[in-house]
Amino acid sequence: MFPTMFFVSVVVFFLMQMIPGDPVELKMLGDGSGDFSPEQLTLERERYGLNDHPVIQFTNWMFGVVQLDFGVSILTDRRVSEDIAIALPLSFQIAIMSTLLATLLAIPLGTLAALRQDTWVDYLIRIFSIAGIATPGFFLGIMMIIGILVITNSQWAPPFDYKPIWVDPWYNLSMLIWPALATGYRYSAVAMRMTRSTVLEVLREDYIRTARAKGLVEKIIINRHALTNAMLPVITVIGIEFAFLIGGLVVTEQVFNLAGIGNLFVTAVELKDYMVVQALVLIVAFVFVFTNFFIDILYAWLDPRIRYA
Amino acid sequence: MLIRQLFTAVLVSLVAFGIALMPTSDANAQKRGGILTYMIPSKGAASLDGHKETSYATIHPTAPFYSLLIQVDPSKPGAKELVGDLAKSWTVSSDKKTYVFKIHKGVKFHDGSDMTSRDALASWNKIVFPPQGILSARKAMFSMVDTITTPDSHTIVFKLKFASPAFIWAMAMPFNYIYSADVLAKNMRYYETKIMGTGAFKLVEYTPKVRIRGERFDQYFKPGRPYMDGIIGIFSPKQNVYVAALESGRAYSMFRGLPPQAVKDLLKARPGEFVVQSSTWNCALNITPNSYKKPFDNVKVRRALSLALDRWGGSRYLSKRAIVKTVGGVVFPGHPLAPSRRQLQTLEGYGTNVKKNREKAMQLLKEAGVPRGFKFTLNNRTTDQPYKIVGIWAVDQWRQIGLEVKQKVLPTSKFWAALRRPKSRMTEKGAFTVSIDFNCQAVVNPTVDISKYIPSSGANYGKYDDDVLERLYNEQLREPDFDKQKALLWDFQKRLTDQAWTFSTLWWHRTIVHNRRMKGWNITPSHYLNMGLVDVWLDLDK
Amino acid sequence: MTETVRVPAAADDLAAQVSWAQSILKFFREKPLGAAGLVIVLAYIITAIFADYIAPLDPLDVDYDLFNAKPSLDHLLGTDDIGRDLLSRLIYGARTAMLVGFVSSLVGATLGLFIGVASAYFGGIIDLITQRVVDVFISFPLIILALAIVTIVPDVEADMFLPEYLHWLWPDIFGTTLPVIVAITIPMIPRCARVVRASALALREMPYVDAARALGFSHLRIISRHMVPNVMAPYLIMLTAFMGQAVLLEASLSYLALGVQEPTPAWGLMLRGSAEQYFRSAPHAAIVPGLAITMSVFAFNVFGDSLRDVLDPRLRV
Repeated sequence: MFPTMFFVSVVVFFLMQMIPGDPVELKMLGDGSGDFSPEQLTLERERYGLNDHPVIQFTNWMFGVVQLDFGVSILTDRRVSEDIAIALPLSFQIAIMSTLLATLLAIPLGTLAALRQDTWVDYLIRIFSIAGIATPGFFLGIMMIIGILVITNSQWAPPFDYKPIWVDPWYNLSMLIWPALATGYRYSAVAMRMTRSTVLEVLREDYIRTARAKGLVEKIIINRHALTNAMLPVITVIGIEFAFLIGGLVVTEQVFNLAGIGNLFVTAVELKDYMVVQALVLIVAFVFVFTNFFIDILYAWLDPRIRYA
Repeated sequence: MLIRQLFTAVLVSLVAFGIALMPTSDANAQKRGGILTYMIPSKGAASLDGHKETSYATIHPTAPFYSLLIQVDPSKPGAKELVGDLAKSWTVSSDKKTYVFKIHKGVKFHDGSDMTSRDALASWNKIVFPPQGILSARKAMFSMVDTITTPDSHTIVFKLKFASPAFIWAMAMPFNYIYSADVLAKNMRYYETKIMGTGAFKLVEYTPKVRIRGERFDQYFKPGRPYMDGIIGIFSPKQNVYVAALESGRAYSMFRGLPPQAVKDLLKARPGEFVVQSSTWNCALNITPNSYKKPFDNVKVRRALSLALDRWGGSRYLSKRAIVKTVGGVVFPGHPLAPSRRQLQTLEGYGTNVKKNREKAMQLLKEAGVPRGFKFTLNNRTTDQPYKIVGIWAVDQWRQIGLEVKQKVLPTSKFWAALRRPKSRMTEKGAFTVSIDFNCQAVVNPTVDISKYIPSSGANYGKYDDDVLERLYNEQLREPDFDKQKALLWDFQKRLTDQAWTFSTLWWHRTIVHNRRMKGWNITPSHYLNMGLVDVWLDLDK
Repeated sequence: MTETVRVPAAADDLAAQVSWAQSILKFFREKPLGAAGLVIVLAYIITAIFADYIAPLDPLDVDYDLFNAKPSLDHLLGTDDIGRDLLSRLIYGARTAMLVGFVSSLVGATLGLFIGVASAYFGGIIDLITQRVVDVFISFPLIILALAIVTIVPDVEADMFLPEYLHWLWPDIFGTTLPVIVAITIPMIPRCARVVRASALALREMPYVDAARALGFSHLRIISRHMVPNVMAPYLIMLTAFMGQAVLLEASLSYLALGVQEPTPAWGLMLRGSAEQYFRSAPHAAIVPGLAITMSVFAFNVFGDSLRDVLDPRLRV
């Protein structure tokens, strides 16, 4: 886990070094009304330690990261942790909402498709799920906005002004439900496919045949035997997709004009705001690695074979 | 035809100076109360410190919380005179080298402390003589300042090394917030992330990239102001979002400028709901060839590029699609220092006889040995308005003199990396060939605004050397006589045009559509100006 | 998860050819959905190749009097905010999407194939290092890695490395899509390498690989002649899965204004800017390119799914 995280840091740090342009110039010249002398720019670079050798910069940064200090954003002069603390709750809420949505849709529908394999129910669910994988989240978002505009005849559009859920739950939900749907659909499609194929596999296993031969009620077979055993791969997929949800949010947040993690990331890449990009990538990678770890434990707990081994 | 042109010229200059379309506000009618929600068309401010920032993304959210020493008159933004803000009055010595500003008494900071000349001094020292490691975006503008002193607690004196008409206009830059000396003494960087001023509104909440909220500052020094109970600024970089907010009435204004199509859509969607104000914008959209690359090292080729542009026709066509309109040179069109329209038309490439211009352009290309169908690339920014649209227009103009130009749009970092390439590397293959360029300034102050065009400027992206330009610039900067200064500026323009190091296409045009309930705000030639919102009031009882 | 690999028995060329034709027929009969996907994909490819003949107008031509126009006989889908024909841009957009989709998935999957097989074949320290690198690259979401890479790779134009008379070898579209292609290819390599390696591990111990080693064949020969042909199933499955992903990723990057750049026609680009700004008055300008993306990815996916069912039902991608 830690070696992976360390190499992720190395990769992202040196990738950022390769982006053309100078972050100080990029932030100072964006709007074009200032005139800075080269000495001033050098001084500013000095402040962020950008004149040091990359290896020294990297070492300094790593020392900070180990102490959970992600440095200062070149663009905003705020601590990176502050910027992330503002953006994270919003993205995290969308992530949770779409995970819930995905799970609630995927498991029943996926199981149903497997049980009714090769009937019209199965085909319908499969098309629904393949369409979910094929539709880009941002297109779905745009379609939602168009739909809302047409249906409500321009009187209502999603709120543009984020308020945390504990401040104004209704307002918050009416804003975030749309991006959650847009990302959740794709997510549920992936999980649905996984549910279907694993349930199908399990149904072909010997012990199910034994259960049927024993004359157990079909409902018990499905619930107690088939589903429990099919859950492992499904949980894996849900877990991995959760870690990668941040990637999907990069685009969806742009559509809905949300100041979340994804938005922060895109701006930071555009303006070469090293510290923010590095911190975000580390967080995403950490969530990924940690989720994998968590899944392993869950596996052990759910699967007696692993537990007793 | 001539009459129509004359009429348009008059109208353009009137609009530019904010006389024609300015809504006249009845002094007695202002109502108190209400909260103004406005959209800030940006992803978020960089730092909050006006002294070091150069973007409207910092001005729009923060200006209501600060006062300036002097400012552009918010009720008559186009006027030739500046007015005081914290300064009650000021006097200028006969040699125009000493400026004495008297500061209002009884001004309070939001933390309750008194504002005195000490605070003004600390703030101005930060702008003019920033300490080591502190960045000031306008330090170069005040190169003429010798000393700043405070003889008493409500007087601040600026002594200049040489008299310059540019000084007082630079003083009125909207970024020159007055900060608290005590706060600065404790932490020079306090204002990068925090807000504490003497402005009409007091900060309630700032969520970066989301919103800023302010409430009326009861101890504000101007009696009876502000009218409104509070303000909410909401960040949104997306046009569809802020247009929808305006349309639904959830926000009353957006203070940057809307493209013509959005203006049309809004007026059509809710007739009678909006007030439109427009003005020439203090931003020139330019084209800069790389004179280190063949064949653009040849002045004839560069001149041909400029000659091919039908600026007057382009104005008619582009003003319907993009936020550009006015034909002009380097000096803000309509400014007293700017050449008259007739004079401008004598300039190469600015005449109305397009056919003749293009013939000459082709002749020049031939003399320079550039074949028909010659190909090159125009670098552009990824921003639609107005860059990409003007770029596409320019490509078509050049096609008509037999040049095959490809527009290459670059994301922000790549675009700036190309422009900021050091002089020594301008000959490399990766260097840009011809690029879109621009000069965006705040207070209309041509003597300083044109500093972009001098070779020693950091914004000289063509990296050209030209001693004549440098000399003319410095002469006009120090020239106290108006007519002589104007003549020098014309020489500067002529020299730049003859060399065609860089040339303007059109000036931007700013159109603001705001809710008719928002009153007391007047458009200015710059989106940096008039954001204090002190005199704005809401007419809500309907 | 267990992954089984079937090792095809050796067959002579003629039999192989017959079975090829037969299996395609069988595929069409048994997997109608997959076949439909294949047909759609082919239609996209044809559109991409013959865009010059299909498109009514040049996608870069500006109609100076018409902007944001509604659909009409002259412009079947109307025009965009600067007066370019939307239908033509849509058709040429297929060229961009297919170019990026095919090149990046082919290069990405193929490099992944060789890295995965080599890693499994050599084992030991080489395998360990490769797997570490793969681990690192897999822990970035695709789009995050792609966003960083796309800003690094410069556009490469013909005149930068080719003499004038060879410029036709490198059309403009190669130059403008190069950063996107590289950005999409790189994150795909480790994903394919991991799956291929898992299949190849079993092959390492196969008698015929042992035999080849005993005969003193070179590593390169064993890898390319004996191992690679036997991991074709996972390779092809990854390849088709990548194609859809690549098209989707290209559209996302372009939508973020960091991918393919104007004025090159691309679907993602068509969805941003004016389409979004004016979708009250002209919703079709946003809907049509979005559908084009969705349909192509849909087609790639159903085709890929059916292919997987046929080749290796137990492999999950």
